[in-house]
Amino acid sequence: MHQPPRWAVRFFDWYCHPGLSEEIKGDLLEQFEHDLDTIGPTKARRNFVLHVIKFFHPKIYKRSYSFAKPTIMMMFLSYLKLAKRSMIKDKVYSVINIAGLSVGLAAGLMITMHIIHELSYDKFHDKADRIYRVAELVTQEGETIENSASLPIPFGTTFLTDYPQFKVTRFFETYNKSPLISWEEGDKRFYEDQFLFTDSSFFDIFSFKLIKGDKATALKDAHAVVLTESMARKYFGDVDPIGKTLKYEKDHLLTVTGVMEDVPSNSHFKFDFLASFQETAQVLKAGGVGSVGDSWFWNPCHTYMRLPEGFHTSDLENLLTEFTQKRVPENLRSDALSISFYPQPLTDIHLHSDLYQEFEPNGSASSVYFSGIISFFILLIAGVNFVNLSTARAVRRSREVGVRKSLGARRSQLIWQFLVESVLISVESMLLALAFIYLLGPSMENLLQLQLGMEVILNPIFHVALWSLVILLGLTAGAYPAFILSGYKPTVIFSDSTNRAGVRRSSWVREGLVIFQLSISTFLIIATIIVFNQREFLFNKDLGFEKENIVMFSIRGTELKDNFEVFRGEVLKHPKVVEASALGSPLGEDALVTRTYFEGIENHLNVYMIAADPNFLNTFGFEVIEGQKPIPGQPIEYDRYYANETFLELFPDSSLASLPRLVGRKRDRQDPIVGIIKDFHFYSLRSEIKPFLFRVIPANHLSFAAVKIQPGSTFNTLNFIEETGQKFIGEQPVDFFFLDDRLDQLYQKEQQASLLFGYFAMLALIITCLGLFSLSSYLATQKTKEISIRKVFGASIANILSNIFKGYLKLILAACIIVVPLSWFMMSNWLQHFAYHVELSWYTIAVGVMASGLIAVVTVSFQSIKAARTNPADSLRLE
Amino acid sequence: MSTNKRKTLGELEEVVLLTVGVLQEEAYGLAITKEIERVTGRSVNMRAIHTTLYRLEEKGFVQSTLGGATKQRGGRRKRLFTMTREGHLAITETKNIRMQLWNLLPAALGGGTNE
Repeated sequence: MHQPPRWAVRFFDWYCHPGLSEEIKGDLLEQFEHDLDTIGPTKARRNFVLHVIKFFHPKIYKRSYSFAKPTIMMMFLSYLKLAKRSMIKDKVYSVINIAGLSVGLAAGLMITMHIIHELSYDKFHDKADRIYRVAELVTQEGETIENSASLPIPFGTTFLTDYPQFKVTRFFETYNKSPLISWEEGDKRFYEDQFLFTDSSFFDIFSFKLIKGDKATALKDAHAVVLTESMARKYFGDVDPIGKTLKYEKDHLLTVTGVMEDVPSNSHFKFDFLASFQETAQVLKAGGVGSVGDSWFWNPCHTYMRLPEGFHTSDLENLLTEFTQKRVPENLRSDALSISFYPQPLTDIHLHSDLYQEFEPNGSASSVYFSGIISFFILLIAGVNFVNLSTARAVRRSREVGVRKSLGARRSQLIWQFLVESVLISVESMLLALAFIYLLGPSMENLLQLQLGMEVILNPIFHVALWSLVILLGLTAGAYPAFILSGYKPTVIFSDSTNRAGVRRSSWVREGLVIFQLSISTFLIIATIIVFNQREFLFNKDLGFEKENIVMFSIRGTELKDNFEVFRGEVLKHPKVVEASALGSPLGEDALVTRTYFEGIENHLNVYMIAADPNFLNTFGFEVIEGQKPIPGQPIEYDRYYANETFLELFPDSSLASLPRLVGRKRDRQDPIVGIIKDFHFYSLRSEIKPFLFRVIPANHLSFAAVKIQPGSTFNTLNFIEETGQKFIGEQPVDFFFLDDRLDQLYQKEQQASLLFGYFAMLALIITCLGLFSLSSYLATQKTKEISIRKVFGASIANILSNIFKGYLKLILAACIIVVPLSWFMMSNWLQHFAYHVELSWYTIAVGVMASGLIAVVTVSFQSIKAARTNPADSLRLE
Repeated sequence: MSTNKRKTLGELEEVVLLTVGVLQEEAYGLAITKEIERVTGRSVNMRAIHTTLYRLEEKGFVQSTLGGATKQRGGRRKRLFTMTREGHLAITETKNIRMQLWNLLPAALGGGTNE
């Protein structure tokens, strides 16, 4: 066979650009073969040389054509194809990686959405930065006795008279907070707990949207009411509500003048109705309040104002001081009792204000930071998994790198290939996470009792941030294989048959990351156990009175109040009703600090006090340690007091008999303390028990009824109580609540925290275990040969396992060393928030550590045992 | 196509582009060279044809892919060219310009229309 001259071929190879060589050489050879057949070998060779020389041209050896470089798009598609192949090749790895990452991302994303929602409170109002709420501080001899979100009724109107350049609006809720609203034409009547009276300037300050009606005039009329869309539907259905008449309680008539969009969930006050507060006295009377609304002491009105342009917080503070000096009655500016006002920026209220009389329990900045940190850690754990797995797996792929390099892949192409691969995984995980949130978001809101604020999913900025994070995550995870692995020389990769080079180099990073993951999951487990214990403690702690099976309702109208004894006699006829009593407020959540004067003592004392009728002792099962219970049948003596044990600390060295009598402010009465009852928790368990007095008064001054019933056929019993009540109050429904339910709500935050912790700890542990599982399987495969050789030399399975586990135990131990002091410190700090809390014990922490350690060991043992049991003949034969 | 940087066809480019069209699936360097030699009867520099093809591809008038390897050519693959839409537009335009000019040519010189 004739060949073209070798030197010519070599010359061609030397000058021709590699990207063009293949095709041109092919053409040259084809021509040569053709020439051989037609003009004979000598001429063919001469022709070949001639062509080679003619091709020696800058355009051939420099090559500046773009086609020879594959286009970016082409390479990208090829990277995608390779990524797909490698994912399919290693299914377990891909599934674990994507599942773990998407669960982590979903959790992190949900919390982020929740935080965004929390931070967005009240920002939707126009110029929200100029809207303020005024709060009131009541002090007594320098001691704060009330820090209230609501103000005296005259504040708003007086302030507006003095400073007309401000816009001021007040909110007033009726005393019992759920008035009966009825539309008589349509025969609709409901108790509404979101009913606000307000001033006509409401819409000048707040930017809620009216669907029907005119903002400028909607609240002008003294009997105007604006209702939300959903209320319009509830009362009027398809009927146009404008101009219809609603009745507030018994006789206050209101005309619908507007329909408003429902209040967004990120408003710190929510309402369904806005009615005119113009005729204040009439509104108060309709709500069953005796006052005419000119008191500077009673403070039921939340008051908001919009500052004129150019006014600052400090200006407003000065103005409020000046105003207080000028307008507040002198007896409320003395040392004995003084009130002062201070502004709160509207947008700070939700996260930073926790005053008496808030509209609803606000969020707290610390819990936002806290959940932010937790979700960040979950994301971190998931991210660490992803990085670790990609790294561990990359080592196995070093051969692939070698082959690709020998076939002419450039380093940059390999880098891109690995980066595209890991970015693809992170993008897929994010898509899954988003799908998860989209489908399960609403049920997660219920489960975690969190507002997620789903609307943020439609926000483009959110997505920009989201996807940048995803790409960053992918790039980070791909960085090790991309930059380190792609730098290896193929000869090194192929000659180092154990492939250990990469393992050793990355192992300390990986071990550090695993320790980090284990620490976080263990911490979360410990925190969950403690938070859960504390929650159980709060719910189950003996409060010193019986809260179970107590049905309560607020007493409406004087008919029932005046005839409460008759009512009591009627309900007691039912076999399931044990006892009934009237009292001033539900027990266990609140009590009023009252200035109390005592015989022989010049100054007053501050004592917590609740008023009740004499039957409260039996209804709530109070234990009287000293003194007398009212004797049935005997005439009842009113204005008698029962003190708690702590009360005695105010009068050391005295017994019940020697306790001073209470005298009125004018020292015109002498009322004795007739009994000592065992200490009970009249406040939430966050605060300590303080000196307390029960004041026994007739039922006609009391606003709550409490009925102790026996468990079983509760529905019938309630029905009976309602029917009995309706004999007095007419055809109104009675809104019952169970005392224990109501008291459980005091601990909503703890309830939510324990839920959050529980789910997060579970998630963190699952993700960590996923990571450990696949990591251990990689490390086990890497060690297959080592294990086999050990077995050949006589090591038992136990020997090998202990050898493998030693490595993991080291990691678990390191995590323990970090976690134990950390969790001790953090959790004992948290428990300090409660005056009454569970004891933090080493036992609890040990349980948490053991649990997570055990789970980790079990996880790694699957693959390790498998590896230890392999037949050496199989694995050693591989090469 | 961008207007400020007009991509024009040189004479050789036009011939090569047409030949790519003529040869359809079998348009690679050597085959195009041979076809042009066959049609014009002149000998053509293979290198010039290659560089012209590369230039045409840069201009977007042709596209190329590497074909499969065969036993001939020492197992080397061919770079196969196909005309793009833009390439087709470009030769059509060139043809139209020529036709217009031919039509304007006095009849004695063989021009004019056949109206």
